[in-house]
Formats: sequence, C-alpha cells, structure tokens
Amino acid sequence: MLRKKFFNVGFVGVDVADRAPFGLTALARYPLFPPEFVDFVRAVVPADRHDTLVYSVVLTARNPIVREGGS
Amino acid sequence: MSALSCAQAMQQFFAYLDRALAGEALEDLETHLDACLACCEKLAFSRRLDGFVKAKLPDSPLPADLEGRIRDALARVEP
Amino acid sequence: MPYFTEAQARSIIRETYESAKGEDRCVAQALYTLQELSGLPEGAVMLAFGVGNPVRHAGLSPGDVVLDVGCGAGIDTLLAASRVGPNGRALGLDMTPRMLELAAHHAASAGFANVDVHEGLMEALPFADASVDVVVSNGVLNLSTRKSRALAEMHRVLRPGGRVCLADLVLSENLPEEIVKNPTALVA
Repeated sequence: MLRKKFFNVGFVGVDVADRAPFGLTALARYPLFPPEFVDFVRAVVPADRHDTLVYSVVLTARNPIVREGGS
Repeated sequence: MSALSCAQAMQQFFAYLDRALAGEALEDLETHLDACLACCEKLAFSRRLDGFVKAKLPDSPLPADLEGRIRDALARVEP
Repeated sequence: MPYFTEAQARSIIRETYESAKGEDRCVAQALYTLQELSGLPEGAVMLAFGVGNPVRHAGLSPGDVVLDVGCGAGIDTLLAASRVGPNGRALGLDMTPRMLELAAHHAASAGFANVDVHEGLMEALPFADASVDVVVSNGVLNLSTRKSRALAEMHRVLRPGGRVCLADLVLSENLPEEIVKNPTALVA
C-alpha cells in the first residue's frame, strides 16, 4: 500500500530495500508509544503475533528524469 | 473540506495525474486516497495507463472521450 | 477518517519531542553499526528515534544535496553530511524547535559545516522545486495525517532523477479496532 502511494505521487522504481520485524519490545523504547499503550497492544494481540505485527521497511524510489504529465 | 465518495474521487484521477488539481479539491482527493485502499489501487492503475498512453502517443492529442471511457471501465471494476 | 485532527496530531507529536529524554543508546544500536555511530555526538545518538537506516540505502555521493525530513536531533542528517562531504549539503527539516536546536548543536559540535536546519512541516516543505538530490526520512511519514501530501512534497523538491529513501513502520495486518481508538494510540 505504501509502495502504491509512492507510485501515485509520481515516483518510479519503488523498491523495498530492507524489511525487518519490529517487535513490541522495540516499540516501548520510543517516546510516542507510552508504556500503557504497548501493554495494551500486548494484551489485545495474540502472543504469537507480537513479533510479526509490525515491520520496519526502507523504501527507495526515483523521480523520473522526464517530468510526466501536463503543465 | 468535504469527504469524497469513491465515484467522486475517480472523476478527479486524470486531473490529479496531470497536476491540474489544487487547493481544496486536491486536499479532498488526497484525504480520500490516504484512507481508501481501493481508490489507491485504481489510481495506481490509472497512472500506469496514463504513462503508457503518453509514451505511445506523445505528439498526438488524446481522443476526446478516452478519459471518460477509462473512467467508466474503472467504475465497473470490482475493488 | 483520522481519529485525530491534523492540528491535534501535530500538537501531540511536538509536545512529545519537546520533552523526550534520550535515556540510552538502545534505539541507535539496533539500527546503526558501531562504525556508523563512532564519531557522532552522544546527544544525537541518545535521541535517535528512527526505525531504520535510510542513509545506508540512499546511495549518497560527495557533492549531493540531501534533505532529512523529520530530522529530530540529527543522527541521520549527520550521517548524510559525512557521506556528501564538504561540497555537498545536508538539510535537516523538523517541526519541533527543541529538536532543531539540538540538531544544529550536534552538527556544530561534530564539526560539520555542511549542515543547515530548517523548521517546517513535511506536508509543506520550505524548499524550492527540484532543489535537492536525495530525500531521506526515518520513521516520520506515519506521523502525518496527510501522507500523500507529504510524499508529493518530497517528489516536488527532488530534482528529476533524484532519489528518496524512507524508513517507516508498516503493519502486517490490520490492528484490532480497540487499539486504533485508544487515546494513547496516535501513531496507530
């Protein structure tokens, strides 16, 4: 879905350069994810999905050389 | 700002791809695209098609009703 | 429809980062190699809150102008600055004044003269069309309530042939409804 967003705004050659699981324990280190929230997610999501719920990805893409479209 | 229906959003695809949308119209469409997976997919298809057509016919004007026909076809496609 | 308005979301994010403490190097150590971290100011490392390593994949060359969208305390900006060298420029953009001050401070203390910081929003980048060679971004796109706009802005400021290299989190499945509606769940 994220790749399509890149494509839709005009990027080409959208590629996933890296993809890695990002466990809930890692989320807890970030200020935007307060401990209460992480505990809440842990409680609501089945244990076997804790480590595969979230992934970090690195996407790369290019601007085309010839600008497409009008104007 | 108003919430667009998918039909309304699709009307704007080619204008969006031609960078002819601005202001509130642009914002409304972007908001819809951010939320609607089906339209995001359809726009990606339209963009591919748009690029293909422009590559094949760079110097001739597009048939007047082409955009309308593509829009109709998209509307018939299941999301 | 987003559960927060754009203004609410920004306000929460800004407040979070105005008071964020860098308590350890855990985030940085998980994302960057020892070699990448060596030579970087401690403050930039402790306040690293990215989710990936976009600079590693960005293919930066000496002389490039690179923009770090959502630079925070500057760790990726500094890594980029060292890759593009004195003839290049590393521009850091953030909407949180405290983070920008820190990024500028870290750049100065590390001896980088090719770093500029700018305050602004990723949905309205304060840069001219086609003015940068590479855009990097680390864990910030998800913070926008207008992702398509933010991406369109990155596209706009990149010169034709320019590259974007962006790290962020994605979900492997939809979150249960209760999580998305939880008041602490801004980023979800």
